[in-house]
Amino acid sequence: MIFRKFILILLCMSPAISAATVPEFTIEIHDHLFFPSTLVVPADTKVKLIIINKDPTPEEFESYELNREKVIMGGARAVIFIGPLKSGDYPFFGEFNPKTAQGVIRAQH
Amino acid sequence: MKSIRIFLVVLLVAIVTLANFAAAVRGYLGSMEEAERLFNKRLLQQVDLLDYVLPSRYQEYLQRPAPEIFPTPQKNDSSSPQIADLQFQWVSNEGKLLARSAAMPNEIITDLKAGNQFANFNHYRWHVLVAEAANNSGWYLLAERDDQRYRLAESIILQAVSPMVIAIPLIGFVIWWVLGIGLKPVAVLAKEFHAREATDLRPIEHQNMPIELLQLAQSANELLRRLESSFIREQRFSADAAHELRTPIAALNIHCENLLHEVNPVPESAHKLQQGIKRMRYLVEQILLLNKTSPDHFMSQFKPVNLTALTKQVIVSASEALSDKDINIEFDGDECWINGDATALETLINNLLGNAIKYTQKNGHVVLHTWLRGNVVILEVMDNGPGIPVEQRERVFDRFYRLHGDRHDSGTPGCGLGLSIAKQVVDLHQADIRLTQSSFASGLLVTVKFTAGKKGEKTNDI
Amino acid sequence: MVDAILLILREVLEAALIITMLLVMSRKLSIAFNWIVIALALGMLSSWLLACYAYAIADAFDGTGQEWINALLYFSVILSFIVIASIIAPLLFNTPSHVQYLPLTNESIKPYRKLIFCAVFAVGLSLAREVAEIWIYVGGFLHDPNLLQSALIGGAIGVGIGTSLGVITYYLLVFISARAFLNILFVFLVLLCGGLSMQIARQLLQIGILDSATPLWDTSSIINEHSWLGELLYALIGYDSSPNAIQVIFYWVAVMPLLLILLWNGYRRNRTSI
Repeated sequence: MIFRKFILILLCMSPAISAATVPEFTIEIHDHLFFPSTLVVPADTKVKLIIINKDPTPEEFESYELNREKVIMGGARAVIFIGPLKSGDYPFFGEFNPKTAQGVIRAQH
Repeated sequence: MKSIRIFLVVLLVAIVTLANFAAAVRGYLGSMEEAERLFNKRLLQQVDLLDYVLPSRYQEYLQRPAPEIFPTPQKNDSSSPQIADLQFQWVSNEGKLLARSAAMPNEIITDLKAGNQFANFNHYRWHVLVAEAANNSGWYLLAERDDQRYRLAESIILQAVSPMVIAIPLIGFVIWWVLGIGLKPVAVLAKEFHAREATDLRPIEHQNMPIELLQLAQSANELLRRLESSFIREQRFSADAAHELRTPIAALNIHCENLLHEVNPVPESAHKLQQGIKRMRYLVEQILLLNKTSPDHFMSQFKPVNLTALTKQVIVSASEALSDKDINIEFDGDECWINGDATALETLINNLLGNAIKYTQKNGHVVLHTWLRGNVVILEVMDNGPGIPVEQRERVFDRFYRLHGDRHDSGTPGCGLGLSIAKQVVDLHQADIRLTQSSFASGLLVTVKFTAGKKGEKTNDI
Repeated sequence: MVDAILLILREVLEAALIITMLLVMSRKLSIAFNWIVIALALGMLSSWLLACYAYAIADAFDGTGQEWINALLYFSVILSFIVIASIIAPLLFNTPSHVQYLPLTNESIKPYRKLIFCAVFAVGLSLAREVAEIWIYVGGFLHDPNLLQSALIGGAIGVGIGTSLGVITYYLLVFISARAFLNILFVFLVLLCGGLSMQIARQLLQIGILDSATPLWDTSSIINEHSWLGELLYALIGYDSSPNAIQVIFYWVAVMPLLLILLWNGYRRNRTSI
């Protein structure tokens, strides 16, 4: 079973390495807010999100719609791959400060 | 369920916690919603205030090239140092900014759509109320910092919620304590049973017992009563049976003696009759002894007994049988005291010595020892008779078991109860009996190990 | 406060469920409860280490350290569950009296040592991942006493609800028969392994190791992951309202060994009974 899993990983790894030209987008966290709070990304494309936490406190980037969850320590940066997404709105929020840290990723052609 | 108390405490605390916290969350959510409505209402009132002043100056502001900026009002207390809690923008119907408070940006912060919205600027998230001004004179955008609103509402509600959380350990402690009180009668009852002597059959006191335990106590008392009456019956039966059987046997014996004197020549069957009577008397005595020493029926209290003196006394009383067979008897040992019942111990030594005499040939040797070895008292009875084969040594303790079946070469009357009785007495004293090879060329060594007891008073020797 | 409750309840609920099931298991098999102390200590210690080295972990492997660690933790927990399931499986096909008296036989002692070891491992590592997030979360509020109070009260409520649910589940399960419980435990292990495996896939998708395709289906309109039911299902079986094909493949890769163990034991039982 372990073998099967590793083979699977290796198979899937090859396209990821070759696809070097993944478009990058940056979101900053400032005072528990996302900037920009609305990020437009191309639809049907794999996208690399770079999230920079400018606050001294940790934050967790979370989105049920995107199926992503990642803790970003205070002052650190994190990389998250998303997509390819169908066009539409995908809300995300900071799980540690959900009242303020809210945003949406808008995938469009 | 290992402990009723732990089970109840853990489960009750869990249920209370769940109910309490669910209520807290429900209350929190409801209160937050209410607070939100209250804040929104307050914002609407601010709109009314603006409507008193601004619409009349709509035309005048429309003409101006740049929006009017209202400075931040100076406050004496500096609770919110940088940015005032309430900000506003006034926008014309065409979307031109007419006026704003100082902290507001020059851009219109959100869509011109009546209602409550959110916007991010000045490093904060703002709750924005967009409302149409009176007399068709544009839009008001009133903004409050969302985090301040939220914190204000929460600080009020937390006052209600936090005691619920702090109360849980307290509730847990109280439940633990109250259950301890509630379960005390059970503990008391258990302790009373535990502390009882095996022979203590007094009924349990159930004056102040809760009804749940009353049933148990009454049943137990009923059981104890029946047990006691059966004990009394048993004891009375033993005594009665002993008396009732001994008397006719004694009478039979006398008649038989008379018969032997009166009839001449004495017929062979009369001798056999006498043998039979002797044997019957022995058997009855042994059965009664077995009954008396049985642990279930043993009722008397243990006292310090001088085992050495007792052994000597038994040897003296057996002197007739010893001299009959010219047996060489030896006794040696320390003065040993054990806790026990003198009558039962006498029976034990008597049976062991009796066996030794019975199975030893004429001019044989019998040796008795009582040793004190630290905490252990050892009674040894050794003979130079035929001994008991290893494979039969366990079985000889069985009732009515006799070595070599009925073909007894000793010619002495026996019924196979002697060692059973000995074993019973040994068990009664929580001692240990062992059969081994004697140090003579042949023969049996019986070793009984008791726990040493305290020395009793001199006068009460046996 | 509600955010804190939700976040912490989510972490606590999953741990409480795992601990409850394994505690009932050790009770039904007459294993002493000592192991849970070791497991809790292991969990607390490793979670604290994870939180302390969160920066270093996050920066490792080109910013993908967090995902790799999580995937590794998920993977280890799945492995120990599979071992537990393989020890449990033969009991499912035994006669009820055998299950009842099994702990008393001598030959059963050796696999139980393995069972306890796996239970400690599974609980410890599950706690490590979940409690580390709580440490980081609470640590973020240390500078602000107002927010900290709110977060702590929320956290206390979350822990209280999660633990209470665990306790109530424990007593519900204690009063059912050993045989019925073992069946429930096996189903639970299957679902949990599948759910955890999907989490591994998600971690790998997140760092771009795997390419995500469009979700196979979307049930968020039926059961939203935001809802209480959704949270509960997430904790129970790793519910995901819109999984990818890759995630579904991972699910079956983890569930397969368990089903094979079950089938093999059933086959062996049938063969011996003929």
